[in-house]
Amino acid sequence: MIAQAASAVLLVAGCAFFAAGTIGLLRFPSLHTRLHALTKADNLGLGLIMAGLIIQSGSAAVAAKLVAIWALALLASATSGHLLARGAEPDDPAAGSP
Amino acid sequence: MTRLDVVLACGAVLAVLATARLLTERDLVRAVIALNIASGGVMMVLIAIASRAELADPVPQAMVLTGIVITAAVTGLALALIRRIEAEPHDEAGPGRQDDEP
Amino acid sequence: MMMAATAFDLVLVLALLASAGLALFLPRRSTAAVMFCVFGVLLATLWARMAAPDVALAEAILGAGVTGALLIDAVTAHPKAPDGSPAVRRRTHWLAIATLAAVIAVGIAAATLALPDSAPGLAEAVEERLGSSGVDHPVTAVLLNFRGYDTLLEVALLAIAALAVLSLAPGGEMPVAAEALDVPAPLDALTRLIVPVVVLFAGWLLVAGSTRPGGAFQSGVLLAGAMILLALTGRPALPPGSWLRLALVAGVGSYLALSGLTASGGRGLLVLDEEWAGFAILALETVLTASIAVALAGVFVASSRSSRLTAREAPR
Repeated sequence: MIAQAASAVLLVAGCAFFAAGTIGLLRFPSLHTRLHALTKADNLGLGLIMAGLIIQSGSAAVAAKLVAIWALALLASATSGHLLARGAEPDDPAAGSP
Repeated sequence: MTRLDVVLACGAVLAVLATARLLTERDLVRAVIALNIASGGVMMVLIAIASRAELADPVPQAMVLTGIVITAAVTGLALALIRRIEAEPHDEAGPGRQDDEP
Repeated sequence: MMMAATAFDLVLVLALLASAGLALFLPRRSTAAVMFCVFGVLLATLWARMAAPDVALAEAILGAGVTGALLIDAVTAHPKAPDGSPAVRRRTHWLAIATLAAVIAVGIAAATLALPDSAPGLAEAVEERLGSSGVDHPVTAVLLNFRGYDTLLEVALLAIAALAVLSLAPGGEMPVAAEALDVPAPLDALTRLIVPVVVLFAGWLLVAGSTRPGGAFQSGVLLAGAMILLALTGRPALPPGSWLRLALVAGVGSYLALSGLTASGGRGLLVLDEEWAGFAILALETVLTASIAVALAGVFVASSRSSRLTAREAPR
């Protein structure tokens, strides 16, 4: 019962962080600021959602797979964030000041 | 309104919308994207029909799986052809192409 | 199966329609390509929701992965579509197409919605014969045993598509790896970390296909994704020279050999006897995995290599 409630709180908090990241994506003026909002908020949101799901998972194997997914998603999003920021032209008006 | 109905309606709409777009789209790469979306719509209808039973019907699922892999390979071929179609004439390198126009 | 449409289902379907609409109707190529990747991921979620995990695995890897990579490669090579007047000029034509499309969509929806909500389909027939098919998972049994002929034709099509793309490479050279001019360190590190994990996972998927969702196709396309990642970081991704051609036709070749054996010596074309069906399916799946991976990765490497060459030769 407490586990269900904790899981629900974590999932909702994770979704809230994802929503915040998406609002940042839509509202921030330049590529770098958008990346900033997106990578930070989405990573925290993903972590909270994974924590909520691990509580609900019920078996160590499923929990271990969820942790593996979390690690892979972190690696991929960090690398793509870096590549996007690096790929923006320095005098690109959409890039803003880094 | 069951889940099945919603997915069937969405699949039908997507298939037809994307096919109509495919016929009216001038840009070849976007036409390939429209083709992929149209096949996605058709697959939605197939999988929705397959999910009606208590035990999901494996034959439409196998057909959709085959379709997904074939669509990916054909998309690759189409994009390679589009790249050649859109390339500048002097880029078409190749040994022994001496009879081209100047 | 009368399950009410939950809010999650409605939101998912709306998101699918929205991403597809954006991909189809926004003018820029890059927007269309990225929205198509989003569409692919959402579609994979839908398949998982509709009790089709095999299809979900394949769609997740192909839709956002291999096809996504191909599309993004194509739009970065040629970001501007060549100018041309729109194909449909007059308003009457638009109206005619719109009306026809609406009529057909309503017709399809009406016909499919009129189907009974719950019908057994072929699931029970497959379940009955599952024991003698050599595997324990219905979709794998259908793909590689009951409908093996379809899979044979599919693998032949993959090989033909890959050979056609390779023949389009400028100069007729066989590419081994795309030339990566300057690989950023994080991407390099990520590749070194992820590719062994992916290969391990692909091997597991191949063997797991006998008892649970998985099998040759999912494993093959996952390997193709790993090979594309290798090619993007400048590492050799494909077998060189004639090994490449051998790998491409090995899948079709072994399937044809199996057909020949069963047609001439066995009980009929691709009729797998119970004693050796399991072994035959696993061996065939292994060869198919390699063949599918090489075919899809070859399509990508050949296209991207040719794109780099044409970009360099274009006048500046």
